[in-house]
Amino acid sequence: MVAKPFGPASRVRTGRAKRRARARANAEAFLFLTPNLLLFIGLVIVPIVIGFGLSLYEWDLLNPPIFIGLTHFQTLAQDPIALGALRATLVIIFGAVVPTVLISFLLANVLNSALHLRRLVRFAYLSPIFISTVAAGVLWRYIFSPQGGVSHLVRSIGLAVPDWLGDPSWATVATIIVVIWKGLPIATLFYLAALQGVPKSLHEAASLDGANDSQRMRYITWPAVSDITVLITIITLIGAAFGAFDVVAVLTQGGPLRATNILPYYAYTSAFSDFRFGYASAISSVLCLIVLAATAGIIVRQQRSAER
Amino acid sequence: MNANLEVDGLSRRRFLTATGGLAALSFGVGACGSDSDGPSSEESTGLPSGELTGEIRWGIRDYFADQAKELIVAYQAVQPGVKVRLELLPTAEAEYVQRISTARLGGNLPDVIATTTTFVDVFAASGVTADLARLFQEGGFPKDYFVESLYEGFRVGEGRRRGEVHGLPQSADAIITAYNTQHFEEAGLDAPSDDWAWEDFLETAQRLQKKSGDETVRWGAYVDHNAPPLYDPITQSFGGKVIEDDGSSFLLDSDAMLQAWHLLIDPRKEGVFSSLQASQAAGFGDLFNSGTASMQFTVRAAVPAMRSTVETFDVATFPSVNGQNKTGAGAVGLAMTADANEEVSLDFLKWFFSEDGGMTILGASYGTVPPIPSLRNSEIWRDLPPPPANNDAFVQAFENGVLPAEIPSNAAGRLAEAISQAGEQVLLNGRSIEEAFAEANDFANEAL
Repeated sequence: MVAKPFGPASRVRTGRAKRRARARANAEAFLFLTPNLLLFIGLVIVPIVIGFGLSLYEWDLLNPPIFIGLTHFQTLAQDPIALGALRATLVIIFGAVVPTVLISFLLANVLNSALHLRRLVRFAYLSPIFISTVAAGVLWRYIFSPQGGVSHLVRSIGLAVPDWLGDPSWATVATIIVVIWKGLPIATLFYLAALQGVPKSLHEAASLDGANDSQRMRYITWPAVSDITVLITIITLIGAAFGAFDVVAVLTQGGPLRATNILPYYAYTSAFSDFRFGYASAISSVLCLIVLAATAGIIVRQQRSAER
Repeated sequence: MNANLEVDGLSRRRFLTATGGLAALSFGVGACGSDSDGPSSEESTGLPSGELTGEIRWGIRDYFADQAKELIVAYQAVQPGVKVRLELLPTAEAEYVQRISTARLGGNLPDVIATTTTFVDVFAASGVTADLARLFQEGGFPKDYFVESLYEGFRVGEGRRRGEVHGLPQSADAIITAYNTQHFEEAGLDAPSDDWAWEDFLETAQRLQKKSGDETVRWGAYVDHNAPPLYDPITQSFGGKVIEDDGSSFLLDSDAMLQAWHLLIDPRKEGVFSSLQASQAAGFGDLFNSGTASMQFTVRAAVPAMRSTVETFDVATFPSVNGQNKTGAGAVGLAMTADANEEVSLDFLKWFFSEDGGMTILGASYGTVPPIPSLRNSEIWRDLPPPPANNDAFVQAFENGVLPAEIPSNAAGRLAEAISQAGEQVLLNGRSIEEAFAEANDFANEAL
């Protein structure tokens, strides 16, 4: 038997085997991903594409659609209500995202500590998950009413009670509060999971160097969970952009004076009050593009700072 | 706007549509066709035979749920082989239309649905509902079984299905004034008279208002200026209208409408009528039912809810305005859908509208004034234990009822939003009614 030499022939066999193994691994991964991918394509991508298509038509649901091209987008660009809705949407997004990220980070740190009240805090932060949005909206409507809990609290410390749902500015604040409340559970859970992965040795080393709790949180913990922060920011942004719809629908119906008339709600009323389904699709398409662009921007920025 | 739109030959120019008013304020039309007691019992339809089998789905507005359950139990006792499944349809008009439209697109309409006169033409044209002529053929209802004006409200007026009947009236109702008798007693007020005027109503509300410091703890009346069954008849009392007869332009800032807006909105600014914030925080009827408002404009359909929460109330007529007695009116009814299980659905409808079947149960439920002349003065509903005691108010309101304006379907939502925004501008921003509604009129007219 002739010994097989080292050299190109044996390297080809090894390379082919490696490629075959990689292809097999890829096929297995694809097989496991396929069910979810099919669902995602069928339930998310296809409706989005259909929505974009519908935005090119004038349709009142009861009669055949009429193709009008980009007319709806031209109208949208000059529609003062749509521009106001865009402003309201951005206010709620920016007003909700930063507090959600910071509060959930702090909550996760409390839960990750050996604090006695940990169990109570755990129950409190998870409760929004178990309450339906409509029920939550009814509760919050009472809480924000002149006879409600928040008003009592404010009155008891000697301050003037704001007209939470009747004043345009305060109605926006009230909406942001509820959006933050809704987003906290998931964000906190993500941070809690991420905190488990921060090595204790880093904290011990920092303590030995004389760092206090807040310094350790700022220089060790916060950077260690930066990837999760990006994820939570994106999720909260999408939640505030689209998820605020049900809060507005129950709490303020877009008022007062259209202060909380966010783009998703304006799309809804355009469709089901004005019977302008094509225009509503155009509004939704624009909102989708804005959120996609913002998400891409966040990811790119994170990748660049990671490279640095 | 779809200039080339044709639906079964129906021109796009005019669709009857809901104007966004509260569904609980949809009523039977006044000026009934006959003051007689109607057809004799020998001419009324017989009850079902009890041999039918099958299943139907019945879509009802959510405020009707309790009465519907009672009716189903009674019908299934007569037809034990039939199962009737209830489905709740939203009360709010936009959501109701959304649900019906998407169900039609999905081929998933219930067999029988709650409807109103405002949807007759558009539902008929778009294939949602079916003709109920079979109910009036041999063995069915006589031609004059229903109050004529209510029945005619469900006849299709335009298009390929013109003349067909695509619904039947379930109740004959119009707006009345409900008042808290205990509050009246405490304030030393007499019960409203049958011929009271708006000025009397306003003065009564002012005397019923209660304040604690600067804060109003009880409003004289819950009045929502956004409700078409309120602003429309008041406008007509001043000789005006909401929209031109040819549908070319709204008239929200006409002299007559401005007078109506002042009547409805000025007392809200003064705290005599419920504030915007309180009205928005509470659902329809909640302020009166909780005792936070002493009076409200409402309908017979709301009586069961009032009875369960307010022990001391009675009813009076809607006050006259400018010397005229005009009351908001409409009609709620039932329709059979185009894809229904026809045999079972028609049988159910026959039982529902029969004097000895559904109409008796509805009349005894406090929530309905029967749309059948033979039952209009029946003790079934007239002699029910109070409250309310003054059932004559319902009959008088019915006689004074006026229909709301026909609003094109593509403009109804815009109209409602325009009026809502104008009201907020006046009550929250302190703008004048004239300015706010001039702007609202321009905004609403963009949809025409």
